[in-house]
Amino acid sequence: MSPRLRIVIGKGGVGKTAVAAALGLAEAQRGRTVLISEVRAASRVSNLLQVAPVGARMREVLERVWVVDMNPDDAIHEYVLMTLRFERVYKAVFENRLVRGLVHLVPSLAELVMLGKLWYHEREAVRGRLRFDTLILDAPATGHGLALLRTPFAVEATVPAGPLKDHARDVRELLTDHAKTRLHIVTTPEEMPVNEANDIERAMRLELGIRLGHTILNQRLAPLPEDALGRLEKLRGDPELGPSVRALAIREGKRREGEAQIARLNPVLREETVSLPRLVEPTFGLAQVRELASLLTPVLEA
Amino acid sequence: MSRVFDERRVVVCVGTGGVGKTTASAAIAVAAAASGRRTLVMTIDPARRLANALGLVDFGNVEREIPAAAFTPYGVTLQAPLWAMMPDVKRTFDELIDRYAPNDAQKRSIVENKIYNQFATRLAGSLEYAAVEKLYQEYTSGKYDLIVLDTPPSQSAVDFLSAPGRIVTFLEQDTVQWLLKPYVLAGRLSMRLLDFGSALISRSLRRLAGAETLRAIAEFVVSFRGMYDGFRERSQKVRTLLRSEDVAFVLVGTARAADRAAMLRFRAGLEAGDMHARAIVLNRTRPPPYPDEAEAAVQARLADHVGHPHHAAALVTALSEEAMLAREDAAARAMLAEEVGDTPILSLPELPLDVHDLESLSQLHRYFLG
Repeated sequence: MSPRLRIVIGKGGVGKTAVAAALGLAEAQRGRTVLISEVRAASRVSNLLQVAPVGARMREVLERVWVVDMNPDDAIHEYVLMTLRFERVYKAVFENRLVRGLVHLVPSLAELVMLGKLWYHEREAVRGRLRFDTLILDAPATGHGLALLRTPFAVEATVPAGPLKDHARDVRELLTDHAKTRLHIVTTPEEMPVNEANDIERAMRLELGIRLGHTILNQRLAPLPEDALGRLEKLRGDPELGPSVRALAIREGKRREGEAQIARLNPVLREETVSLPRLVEPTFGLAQVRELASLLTPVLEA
Repeated sequence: MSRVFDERRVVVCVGTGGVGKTTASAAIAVAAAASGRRTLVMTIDPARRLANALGLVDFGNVEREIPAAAFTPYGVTLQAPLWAMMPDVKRTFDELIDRYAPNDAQKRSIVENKIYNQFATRLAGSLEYAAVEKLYQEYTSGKYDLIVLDTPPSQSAVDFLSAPGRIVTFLEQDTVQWLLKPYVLAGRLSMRLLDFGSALISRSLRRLAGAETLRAIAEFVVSFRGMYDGFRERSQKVRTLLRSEDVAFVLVGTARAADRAAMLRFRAGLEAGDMHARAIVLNRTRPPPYPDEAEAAVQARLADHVGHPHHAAALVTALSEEAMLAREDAAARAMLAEEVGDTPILSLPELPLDVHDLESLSQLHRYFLG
């Protein structure tokens, strides 16, 4: 069975959204129906795919590719409706603004119900068939992303028995189901992103137990021929070529440093990796996401 | 151009994550200390190598002096002492509770409350709150001529700047006040919410969250009694400081479109709060390796020197990528300049990453010496 839920996480700025979108396109290319979810992300996935912005109301933006940008208010509304069953009751209760305020004080409710939305869509069936083959979560950057994933564990552990606790358990069971869920850590070959990748791995190993999928090494540079670079060294002082020689040396230095950083990744994270190139086109859009999608097939086969 | 730290007592560097904010903050601090100002740089979550270079390890919520000798190998002479500090969020919160709790029993009941722990460490903005709170403490200590604050990465200036007011806002919410009122009236902990007027509302809320959860929240809120005035006054003082002429905000970003958009968002956020960015730091910019018109000539000469055609092709491709990135950087700077008018923009060059960090700082600090 292919995984039902793929969570994409990593440091801010490493290209999580591009990877999440590319994974979505790759899955859809194999005929699977996909929902790509982001969290309060100002419609970044839909912008990247160059379609009209998608907010909290999900939409099919390309064939078999659905997108939604979740936000706490709408997610709470949906959750409350599901729990209370009737819009009429929701209105009676929630038009009381004191009550609204109170619900926002319930710790982690917003985070829990956003994950709860994925849980709901994972089991959602239309005419006896699952509505989505794969759900992809473009999680917030490391700190907030881990906080989001910890929510069901924390709620289950701290909240007294009741509907919240039950809901937290359902969500936690989906996250930790090794057949259904994979966590993909995205990192660039840089110090801080690698530190955070290791932090995430540790959190999974020691705390959360979500199964890791391929690690995505984004923006990895190809090595330059060493002896050719060496031959250019003597031109450093050349008025016309000097700056070019220095630019190449900086690039190669950065690449080597990047490889040293990748070597610092926890060995577990280096077991299964996919490397993506640094794309330098001035605009990054659907064409680039498709290019990345074509490189991500090993992820789908695992 | 006058230097960004001249006539200021505080420089606040703001920006999203991963743009080199910590490096820029440290470089500004080195420049100030090299100009004879007793300087403290406060940073949250620095890259490990920079932390090591600055001697920042977990040694509690206190500053550590960076020996001037550390910079001499790189030709930098500090004319005044330079300190570095890494504020700790939970400790800063505990210190606050310590300061404002009217008695030990109340302090204990807050610190032991599960909701408090979530509140102190998980509430959006608690990191930001701790940073400005610590900044205020150090500012009023009078020990420094200049404090450079490297703020935690956030998506908008609002996250950071509204932090001091957030606790007060939280405590003044209708809901919270309404939860408290019965206590204040009756002088005892009354679970008004369990007796909700409307049976429908009461039942629904209990179904959603469970009565026990609601009780824990009410207890937390009640345990804050007597502390509102302290928090409110503190928050007001911090607000006043951040808007004073003593403080210069510096926007830090890179030429990447997303970072540029973030800088403009930050700037708008500052302006809306009556605060002003005094400078923009464009980090890791790449100077063009050659003028556009010389591209063909440079590539031909390089290929000549390399000889081996495959190797030459690889280098030429890499170089034209670097040239394209440099062109994007230049275009980005021009676009940004158009948006920000007379706010000065400082481009810091990308440095080879294998140089030692104090060496990078020594190179970069010169850009802030004006």
